[in-house]
Amino acid sequence: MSNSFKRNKKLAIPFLVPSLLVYIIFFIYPALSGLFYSFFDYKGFSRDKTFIGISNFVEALSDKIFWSALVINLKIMFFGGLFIFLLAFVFLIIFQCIGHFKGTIRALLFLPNIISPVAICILWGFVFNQNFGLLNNILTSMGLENLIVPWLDPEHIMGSLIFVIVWTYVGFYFVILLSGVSKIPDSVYESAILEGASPIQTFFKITVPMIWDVFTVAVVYWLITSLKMFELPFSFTGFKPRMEIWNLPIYIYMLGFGRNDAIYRIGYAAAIAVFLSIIVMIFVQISRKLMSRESIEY
Amino acid sequence: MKRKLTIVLLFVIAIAFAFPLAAGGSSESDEEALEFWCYWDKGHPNDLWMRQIIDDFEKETGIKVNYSNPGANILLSVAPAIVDGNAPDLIDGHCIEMIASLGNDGLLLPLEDLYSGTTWDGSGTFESQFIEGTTTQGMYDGERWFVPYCAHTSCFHYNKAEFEKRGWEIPETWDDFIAMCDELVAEGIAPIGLDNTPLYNAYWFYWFMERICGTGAFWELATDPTGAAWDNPDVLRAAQMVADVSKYFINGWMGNVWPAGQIAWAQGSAIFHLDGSYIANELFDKVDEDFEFGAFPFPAIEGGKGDPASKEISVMGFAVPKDAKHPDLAKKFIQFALQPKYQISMMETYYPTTLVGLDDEIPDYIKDVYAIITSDGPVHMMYDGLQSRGEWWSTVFYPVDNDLIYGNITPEEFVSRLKADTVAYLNK
Repeated sequence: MSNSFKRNKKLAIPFLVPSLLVYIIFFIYPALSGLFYSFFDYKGFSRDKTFIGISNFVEALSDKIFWSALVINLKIMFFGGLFIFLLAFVFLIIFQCIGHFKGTIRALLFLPNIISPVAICILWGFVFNQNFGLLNNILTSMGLENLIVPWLDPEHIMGSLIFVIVWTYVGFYFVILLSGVSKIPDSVYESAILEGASPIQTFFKITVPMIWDVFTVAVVYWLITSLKMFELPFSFTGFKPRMEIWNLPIYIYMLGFGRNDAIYRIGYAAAIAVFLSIIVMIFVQISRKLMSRESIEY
Repeated sequence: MKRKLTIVLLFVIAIAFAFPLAAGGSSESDEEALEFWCYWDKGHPNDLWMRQIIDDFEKETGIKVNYSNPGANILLSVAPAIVDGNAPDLIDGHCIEMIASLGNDGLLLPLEDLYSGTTWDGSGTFESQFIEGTTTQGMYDGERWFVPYCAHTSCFHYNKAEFEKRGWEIPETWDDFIAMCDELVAEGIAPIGLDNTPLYNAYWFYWFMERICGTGAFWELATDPTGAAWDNPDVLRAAQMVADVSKYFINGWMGNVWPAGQIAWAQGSAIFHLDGSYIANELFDKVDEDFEFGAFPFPAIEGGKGDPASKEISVMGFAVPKDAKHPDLAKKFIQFALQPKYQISMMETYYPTTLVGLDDEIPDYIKDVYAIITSDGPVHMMYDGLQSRGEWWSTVFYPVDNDLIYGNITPEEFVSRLKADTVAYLNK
């Protein structure tokens, strides 16, 4: 190791310390505090707390709402992810085939990501409203009255929520995948065209394999995002989230803080948050294993 | 070079830590200021009302008020502040939420000395100015820690113009009410408009229990570890009535996300709406010009053991954290804010007063709810006070109550499931 490298390493330390401090204060410390409180019966309004060992974790395993909330999480993760990546790839194909308006299309697809989730929920609340909502009015004007349903009733609300999640996130993942595509040299595509490959063949034989590492990162990011998703489901049914769409983050919020009829069990909420972290880690590891491929270099 | 870097680093760290300290730390100048954290979001009519009181208070007393708006989630801000020893001097909000969070643990200051003192102008005792039953909901060890500035009740709301048009009178009994609903159904009009929210869905079983079994019976269901209270046939009758009344709900109500259902009612899609008395505040700008807010209490039920005159009162108001640094300033402000002139201006925001003697000042749109609140009869808390048992209420009762009102289970299944779940919950 050269002296200049050692000197540069030392030089890096003072630049890293501020961000490390921020990371420790705002992430490591709260995370460890959460783990600490998960072993206590703690309400959060005073320093009084009772050590109860792993009781909170044992309770969670027999808690019906914990399991139903986890199922909601998994539905959002699987179905939301399936449609998001399916559509993102469809948009990629279209994007590669068209010559004009690429910037406009990219901006339009990304637009929902810069809108507040609460605003998105209000917007879609109006669209889905069964009495004066845009969706049912469109169906009526098209003579499709038989398709009209209360989109936000207990039977349909999950599908409506997943639709809104897909609408919100597809542009973001499309842009991530597009960033991978932009790194593929044009010469590769030119060779393929000279060899007579169709756009579909080019997409599956060149684009997908060559952006696989970006796709893997995007999937991992989606797993994390979907499992800890809070704002959209929370705001989707007005001032108080309906139980049909309580996922684990909402349940944690309700247990710890809530509104109107709050529970104030910070310790138990922390235990479920620990479970959620473990679940996230498990899914991330599984996805990384399943999606690992040899990277293609060009 | 190394020394320079160290100096730069120390400077950066010092700046980084100095900012939050400067922002959040106390200084000499605010030592005598009242720290008031308010429930109302910035810009809400009640926030503007509160700001007017603060302005007047500061001018009249020379006491500075540091006013901030954590908003409806105020308790999320108050909790860490109390734990860190930085409790505000004064907070406000729903009494029931404070009972569950702070009141039951004795974390709020008793205000009996304030009640036994005088009104701001010294014309009478502070206590004597309140409507009966509004001051005793927030108590710990026999002492009151809450001072209410507005009172609410849940009741049926309707458009008086519609009643006049039909020549209807206020229904005295449930049978009268159902007869009106049947008439509407025959005309193809939806009788009851509502939003699908667990909180509002729970109104029905709660009110049927109140009228059929009486005050305290619902509370007993939630707190009886043996589950025997659920075996009372009247409980099944209340559940059956929930199942029966749901057929009068507006078509597709289960898809109504708040406030869609109440707006639909306000715009004439349904005739009755069971809700809190804050409804006029939420809907005043969504009704037609000829709409006249009317309200009547939940009707008496034949054979019911509950007092038909029993009325619900839920209160919003002030409380002082036990660790407040300036409790005397807080009490002084409360005394100041509870002057009749401020109650009159509060009623302009459609919120009913907690003070007596203002009958001539009550605006038309809250006259009926004020009449309910001040009527003769025993007082009970909203949902029989069960919101203070938040875990049972949210995780045991809500799911089964929703299933009943959705028609997913029979009244018999409702009773047996809740009995089993309650016993399991209370004995875990």
